[in-house]
Amino acid sequence: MKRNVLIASALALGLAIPLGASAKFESAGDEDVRFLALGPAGMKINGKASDLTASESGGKLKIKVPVDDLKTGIGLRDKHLKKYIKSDTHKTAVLEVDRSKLKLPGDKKTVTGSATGSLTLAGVTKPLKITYKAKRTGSDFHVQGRATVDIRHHDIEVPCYLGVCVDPEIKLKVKFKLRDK
Amino acid sequence: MSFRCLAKSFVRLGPPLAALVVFAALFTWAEPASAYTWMIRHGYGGCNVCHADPSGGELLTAYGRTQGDLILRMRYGKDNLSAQSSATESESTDSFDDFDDFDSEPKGKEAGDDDVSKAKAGKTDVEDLDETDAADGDKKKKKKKKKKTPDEAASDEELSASDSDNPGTGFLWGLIDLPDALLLSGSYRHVSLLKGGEFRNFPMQADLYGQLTLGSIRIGGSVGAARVPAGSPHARGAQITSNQGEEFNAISRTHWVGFDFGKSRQVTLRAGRLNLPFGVRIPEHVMWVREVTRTDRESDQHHGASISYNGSLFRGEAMLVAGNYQVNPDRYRERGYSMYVETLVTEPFATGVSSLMTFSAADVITLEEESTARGTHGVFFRVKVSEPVVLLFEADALHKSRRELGYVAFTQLDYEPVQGLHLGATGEILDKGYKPEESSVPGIDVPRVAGTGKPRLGGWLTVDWFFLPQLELRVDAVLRQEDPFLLMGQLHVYL
Repeated sequence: MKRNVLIASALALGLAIPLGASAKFESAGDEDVRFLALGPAGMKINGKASDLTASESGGKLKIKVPVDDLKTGIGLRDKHLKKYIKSDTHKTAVLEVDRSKLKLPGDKKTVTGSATGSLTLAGVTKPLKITYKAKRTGSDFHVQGRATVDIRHHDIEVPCYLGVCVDPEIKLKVKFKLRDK
Repeated sequence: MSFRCLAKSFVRLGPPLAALVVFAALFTWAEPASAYTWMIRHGYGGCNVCHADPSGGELLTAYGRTQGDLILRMRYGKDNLSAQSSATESESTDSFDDFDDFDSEPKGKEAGDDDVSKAKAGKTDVEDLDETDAADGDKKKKKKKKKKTPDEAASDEELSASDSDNPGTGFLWGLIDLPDALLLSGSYRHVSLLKGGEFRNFPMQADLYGQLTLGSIRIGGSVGAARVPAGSPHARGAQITSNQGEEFNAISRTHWVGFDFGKSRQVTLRAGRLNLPFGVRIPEHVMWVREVTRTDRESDQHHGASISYNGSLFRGEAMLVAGNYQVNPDRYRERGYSMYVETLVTEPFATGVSSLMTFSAADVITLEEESTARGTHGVFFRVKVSEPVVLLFEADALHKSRRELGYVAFTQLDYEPVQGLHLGATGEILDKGYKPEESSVPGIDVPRVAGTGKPRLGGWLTVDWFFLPQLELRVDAVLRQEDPFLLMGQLHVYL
């Protein structure tokens, strides 16, 4: 058993180290950014963002999402959301994670893991724990990430409208494809 | 005059016109109100966010009024406030608590085909990269923002100038600004019926609703007017004046005092005349699942006390039924309980169970002068099949003294091709339960007929158009076994 673990670890390192030492990640499409806010009585606001980009520099993977075109299913709610997150002055949400903290799968393999990065939202940067799942096909990494953000940590007021308020903990789910170039 | 101008003019004329119509209606007829269970398509699994009644129906909260304007009514032309202006193409079946299978990639991706399938097709990584690069190139081209034409730019400026964060959805189209503690509304329905070659045209509902909130205490209710024939199963149960002929009667469908617990009013205790908590709270009071179970919101309310809960995972209400004290004499009053529990399994799927059991010394509908135990117990669900399609279902077993076991069920498909226009198809089945009794021929029981001892089928086709703020036009074609074809049109105004 111990031997198997050692072999597996060696194999994983053998695959991961060259990747880690090789070229940088860039986004390669397939992006899908969703968020979920919960309200009273089972109310669920399913939101969507677009135009995610990912890049790597200085050993950090940086994921950017513009926040000035978020969609929540109702136009007026979109407008309110943008005010709450101050999208006129802080147009992008940025997540940065050290590449070294990420487990990378071998070809045709899938890994899951968790890491702590830093999220900058509404101009405030705070640590954020993420869980992720990645599958490699050749030089492409198909990535899914999940996280829960407490917007109060980013100095965002809890959104309320006509007496109906949403929970400050917002769930995020992101999918995208990275290419190792 | 363009349709848009016409619509605006109508909105301006609407309040006084509607007030006049309602005033006139208060001296004519009466029937039920609205609760749109297909709102689950917009992420509203529960009811008390938009309705004063914790289980839904009738009086809207301030938030509910606004949602009615943003997601219910039709929008003409471009806007940037409504639901149609913010399509999320929500793949809400995705769980936010789990990862998805990589084999079920989201549809409509702009770049990158399924690499695994390509590999299976024998393509090399080099070919793959080239193709993907080409695709990325196309994507970048697609993402370049299209330059707006002068007309489009002008239209955007007009929208920005005219947008308000508070759509005019208050009482009487926003003409009267009410204090936060007070909710007022009303509902008027005018119906035209064509049944068996006979045409009738009459006001079907004329109600005013209100609710006063004093801290955690709420006082709510409705008053209206009704005129129905003697012995009608409609309106009589809610009348508070005692005319027995075809004169007008004042009615009150609900009146109650409630106490809320929790910051989001999750728990509410109420006492008074309440809608019976049971099944899918649809507005069609003559749908068999509501009519036969005697749980419609037309006049089937009872006095009693209830406790309701509206949480994120489930909701429900249980009521101790003390009887309908607007019906006399006492032997006709049904006493027992009524309840439902619904769980929000996932965002687009909610399912629940209902149960009702009552006892009375005589039957108020069939006028059988024998003690009667009546029960109905069933299941229901609501599911968002896709963004524009919602399916509702309810099936209930029926049992009653002196009758065999019966059943009733319905399923309704609601399709909203564009915001504000609903196309519906409903199927119904009913067997109230056979009552063995001798026919006029000694030794031979009355035969089983469709609906009593045999299944009876029905079908509805519906077009429902929320064509202007607080105005609805609806047409139903109803075909039921043993009944002539019914064509029904209604104009609904809510204040």
